[in-house]
Amino acid sequence: MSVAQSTRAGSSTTVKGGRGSPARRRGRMFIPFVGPALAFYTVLFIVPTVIAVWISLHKWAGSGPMQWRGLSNYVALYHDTLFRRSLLNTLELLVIVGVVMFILSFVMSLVLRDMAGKKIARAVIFFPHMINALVFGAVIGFMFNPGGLVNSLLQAIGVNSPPQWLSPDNLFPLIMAAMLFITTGYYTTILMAGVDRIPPYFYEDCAMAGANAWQRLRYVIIPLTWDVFGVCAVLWTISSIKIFEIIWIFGGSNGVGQPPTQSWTTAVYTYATAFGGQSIPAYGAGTAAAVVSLILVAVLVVLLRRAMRRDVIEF
Amino acid sequence: MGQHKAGLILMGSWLPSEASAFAAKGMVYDSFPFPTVGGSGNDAARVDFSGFEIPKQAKNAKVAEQFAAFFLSKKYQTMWAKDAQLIPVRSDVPVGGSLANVVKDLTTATTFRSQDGGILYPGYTTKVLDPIDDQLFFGKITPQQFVTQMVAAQKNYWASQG
Repeated sequence: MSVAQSTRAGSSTTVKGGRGSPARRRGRMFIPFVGPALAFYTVLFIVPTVIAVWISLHKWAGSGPMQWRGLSNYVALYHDTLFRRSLLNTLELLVIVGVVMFILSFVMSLVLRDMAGKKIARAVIFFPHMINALVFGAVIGFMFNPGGLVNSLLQAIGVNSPPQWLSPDNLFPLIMAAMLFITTGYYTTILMAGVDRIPPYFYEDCAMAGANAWQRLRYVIIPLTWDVFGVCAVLWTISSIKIFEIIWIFGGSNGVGQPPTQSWTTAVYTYATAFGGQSIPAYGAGTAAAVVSLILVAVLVVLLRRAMRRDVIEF
Repeated sequence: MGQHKAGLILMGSWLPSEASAFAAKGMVYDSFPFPTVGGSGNDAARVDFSGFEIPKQAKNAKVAEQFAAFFLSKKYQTMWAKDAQLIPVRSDVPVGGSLANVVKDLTTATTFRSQDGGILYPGYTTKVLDPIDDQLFFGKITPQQFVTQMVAAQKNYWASQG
């Protein structure tokens, strides 16, 4: 395989010689170019994050006096079985849905590569991602309610006591399935862009070298799409930890107005704690849960970047 | 129910006004209090309130009081009962239709409770009561287990509140 490697994409762009020192020129342009973005970022993200950490050290109802609690909110989270359950659900979404989704997406991107009418197919599988999650909630309700589509079909083939699809204990697996359905097309599209980028002469090379399909996958496709994989993994990690509305839609229509606790994620936990239904809001405890989620995302992304680090291959 | 297909529903007095848009013509609503277990007659009733609150620090508290008094005057309380089908707070406003029996039950009741027993402690209902109550309701735990679990969960709750 004749694959040229360079250590970092940026290093090849350095211009040697020319007018003045490029480093100094770059230094002069740094503030006008980065400044505005940095200012916006500081005002919109960094300052609120710092304030959030500050709030999480207090007991606060959202208005009125704040009562200093130190790290008690975090200690309480550690001992809260419901928070642990929510965290576990979040990680299940991240890992189980993530792994299955990436395998499906990768297989689909390979299948679609050689398929006739792949543009239409790509649009069709991307479609679920554009639809509001509310629609899935309604459709799943229509399909899985006790007298719904699925049970009617099952009855037709002789199943008279079907599972209670929408019971609080079965809701979470159903949510995972729906998440899989919604996101697979999105990541397939990104992976396909990566696979499509591989120049055809590599495949011709493979054919001439007598490589089989597995070898082609192992030595051409995976190495050349690895950075795309890395980006997708980070995107999925970030978005999976923020999963909120689909949980709410699947379980929010019960009498209490909140999804059953069996299906809570950390995002739902944060919301329910901060804006606790009919009770006094607990902004401090809610923000503490949000800060834990933020740390979780940061740690996971760093670990993931480290685990997936490979030299970028240019071609 | 509104299509004459159901006869009984466990619901609050808000049902007739909420169902009015799609109920069949001539639908008549009435109510009786939920029977007490082993008790004698109707002694407890649930009431939820909607009304006015004036914060202590409000700048125009006097004006707000006047507005509340205006809104609660007989004229608007009559509309409140007749058009919005809600229970008026004034006893000099006549209540008809499905609300008549509700008001009668409320006046004979000796104790009152509001939603979730009026408990407002942060997250208590959603995180402590509801999950265990659900299990009891779905028949997954016995009343004795419910009590045991609630005791343990409440201990945790109060410990976490500091």
